[in-house]
Amino acid sequence: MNLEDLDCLEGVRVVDFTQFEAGPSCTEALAWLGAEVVKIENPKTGDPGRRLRPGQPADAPSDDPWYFFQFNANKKSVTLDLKSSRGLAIAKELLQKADVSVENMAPGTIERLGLGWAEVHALNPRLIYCRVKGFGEGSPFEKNLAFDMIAQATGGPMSVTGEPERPPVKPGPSFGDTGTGMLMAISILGALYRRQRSGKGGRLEVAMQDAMIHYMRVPFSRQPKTTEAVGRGGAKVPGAPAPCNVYPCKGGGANDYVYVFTSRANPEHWTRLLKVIGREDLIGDPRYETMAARGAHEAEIDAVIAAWTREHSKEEAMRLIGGAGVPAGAVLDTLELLNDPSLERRGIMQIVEQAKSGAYKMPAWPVRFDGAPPRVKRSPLLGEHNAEVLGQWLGIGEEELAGLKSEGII
Amino acid sequence: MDAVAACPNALTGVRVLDLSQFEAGPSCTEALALLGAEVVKIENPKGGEAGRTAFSDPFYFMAYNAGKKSVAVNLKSLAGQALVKKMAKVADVFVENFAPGAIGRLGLGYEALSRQNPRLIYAEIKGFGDGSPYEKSLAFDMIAQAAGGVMSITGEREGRPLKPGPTLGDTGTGMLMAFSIASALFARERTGKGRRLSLAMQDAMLNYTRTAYIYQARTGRAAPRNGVNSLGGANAPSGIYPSKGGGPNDYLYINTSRANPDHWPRLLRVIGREDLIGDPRYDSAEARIERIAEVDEIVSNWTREHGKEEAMALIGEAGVPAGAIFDCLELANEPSFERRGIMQVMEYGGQKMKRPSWPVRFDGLPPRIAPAPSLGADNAEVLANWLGLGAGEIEALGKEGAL
Repeated sequence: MNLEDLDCLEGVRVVDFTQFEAGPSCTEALAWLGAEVVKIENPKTGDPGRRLRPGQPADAPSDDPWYFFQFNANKKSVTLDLKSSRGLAIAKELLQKADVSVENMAPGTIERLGLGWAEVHALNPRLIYCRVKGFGEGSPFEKNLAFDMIAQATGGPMSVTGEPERPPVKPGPSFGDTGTGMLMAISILGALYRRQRSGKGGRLEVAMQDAMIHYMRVPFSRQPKTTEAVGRGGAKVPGAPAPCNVYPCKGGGANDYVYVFTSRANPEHWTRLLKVIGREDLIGDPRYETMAARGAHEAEIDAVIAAWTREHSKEEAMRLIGGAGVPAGAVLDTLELLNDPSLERRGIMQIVEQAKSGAYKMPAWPVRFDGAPPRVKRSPLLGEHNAEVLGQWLGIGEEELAGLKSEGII
Repeated sequence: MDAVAACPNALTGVRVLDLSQFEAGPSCTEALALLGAEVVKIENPKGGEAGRTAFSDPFYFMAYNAGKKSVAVNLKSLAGQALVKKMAKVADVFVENFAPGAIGRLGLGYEALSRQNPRLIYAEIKGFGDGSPYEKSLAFDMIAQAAGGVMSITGEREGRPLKPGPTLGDTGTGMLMAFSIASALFARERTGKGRRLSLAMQDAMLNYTRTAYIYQARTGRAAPRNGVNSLGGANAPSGIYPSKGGGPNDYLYINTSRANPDHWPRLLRVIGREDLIGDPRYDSAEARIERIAEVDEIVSNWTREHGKEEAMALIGEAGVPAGAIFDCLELANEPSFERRGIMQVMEYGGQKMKRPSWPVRFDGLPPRIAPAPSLGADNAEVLANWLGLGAGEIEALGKEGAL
């Protein structure tokens, strides 16, 4: 595979109090680009993401925490009981040596632990202190809990996703979490860059509901045109010219569809498409010649295209239509993408040897730096880096470590 | 507005030469602009960037081009190409998302620009990656969402694949590139070297669908569509419940977590069904899943009698994750977003639009949204500041057809 150990963020120390996904996806991005990310975890159970194994009881032995692998690659793990005074003191010492801290605990929790902004800022004014919450300060819901789907419900994504005239559905991607994490990651980099000039840290905060709105700007740009809420478009893009839809392909399976889109900006897409599907006879036909006319005959157009796509597999349809310069995309599923050799060859999917469960193939950071994406390293076992981090950062020796362990602090 | 927004000045002094169009590129460069970079859009003097006219109104353009500058250059003229090449010599970042091959034909490919400016961070966004079977194909948001797995996991359980309404294919891609650009800028302070950054929209989708690959790993089967529910383990109650009003978005999402057995008794107290606390028919997650229709009915009987905001407030305050399905109109009219600067009003070309800002607050304040530029508005200023061109030279470039 074509990979690089990226050192863009070499020397940046991150104290990571995050859990589940919104926070961990952010700190993982920092780790992929070379930061030293130290997860601080509860000595007994660790990040609850370690125990998120769908279909299994929460106390089942942990041997397949795929969820944890996905969001905690390239990090280190240090266990610390933050409710003990010694544990808290060690956390504070780590924060004094850190460049960035990130947390996404329930509202009020980090303050109750004694690690609120005022305390931590006083300890280390250069620190970039980051909080991810469900709802923003000043929101009517600021004390509420949120998970991915709550962010997607309250931030608008579900209101614009689903079949017209049907109840909302949830977009499959967990961008309520990861979408939020990415916005925080960019902001952390901005704050780090600024600190090189100013010497000062800062306080960064993002609410998951607010982050959703950032990904909703196309629906919001349609809102000024109507007094009704922007609706659900099924597979279509509301306001886009026809054809713009998923079309059924040979095979008839759940994902045997190809998406075809003709752009308003390029009137040739329609005639190119007609050539591919062998309907040159319709070129120049006034029923379909303008975008307005196609809009009025959308059902007919969809039938003409589907008659052709049903005779072709989705890959073939994508290759032929895409090859003719018309935007087209097969609806590829997770199995097809996981088995796509080009994704692995390019390092977009990487096989990572996990500590206990062996080889695991997972999506990596998709941006290539000088041709190569960053190498994914396995996620840490709980407390795996206690000695290394506490030794290197704080000079804690073996004997003291043993004491901390026997007292249940690490 | 100044009381609730400020420029974070994080990327002050960073010059971005922006040859991007529509959304995947512009959302990336807008993020850089909101954080304080000087972003100069290079646009076709005839009509400008394609996003200006992608719809019959300016709102799409307004949504992705806040705080940028516009310089209108004719890239089909040699003088225009030479001018942009000169600008790339003094820029820190270059971003483009043209169709495959187009940037090289303009003489603005990576090799040409990095040779004359080794400190340049050169960022290219395409639909499909180099080495992909589709590397020459065009892509827009929905093509990325189709080919990147997103649509395969979005829709009703037995229904066809649907497209999520948010433009994750575009802005989701733009965000990953923005983060990578900022990282490369940070590293350049130490190394003095630029980098070439490449991102395919199909590849970017994988970053947002990682939870589906967990289902994939567990079952060996393609992750399916699951309506409103996540692909994680089923728990009940979990999903949308109808609320008073009966409109298309009058629903409340309730998600009791498997990880927290207290959510169920807390919910029962809110909905006045303390009588069911400890009832063995519903006491464990497994039991509730077995009687999921009954559980959903118990919850719906209460939610139907309450407005979604009221229901969200009551259930949320009791410590159970709950969220009303808010639509764009409700969100645009919700005063707390504007009060907090998360939504700001942009004026442009005689139109006003309330639009989202960058949602991350720096020391309590989100970035201030400045207007999108009119076409060529900053020709004189940018060419003077970046290249030292005087009024006469700029006029001459105009006569040559370069501007």
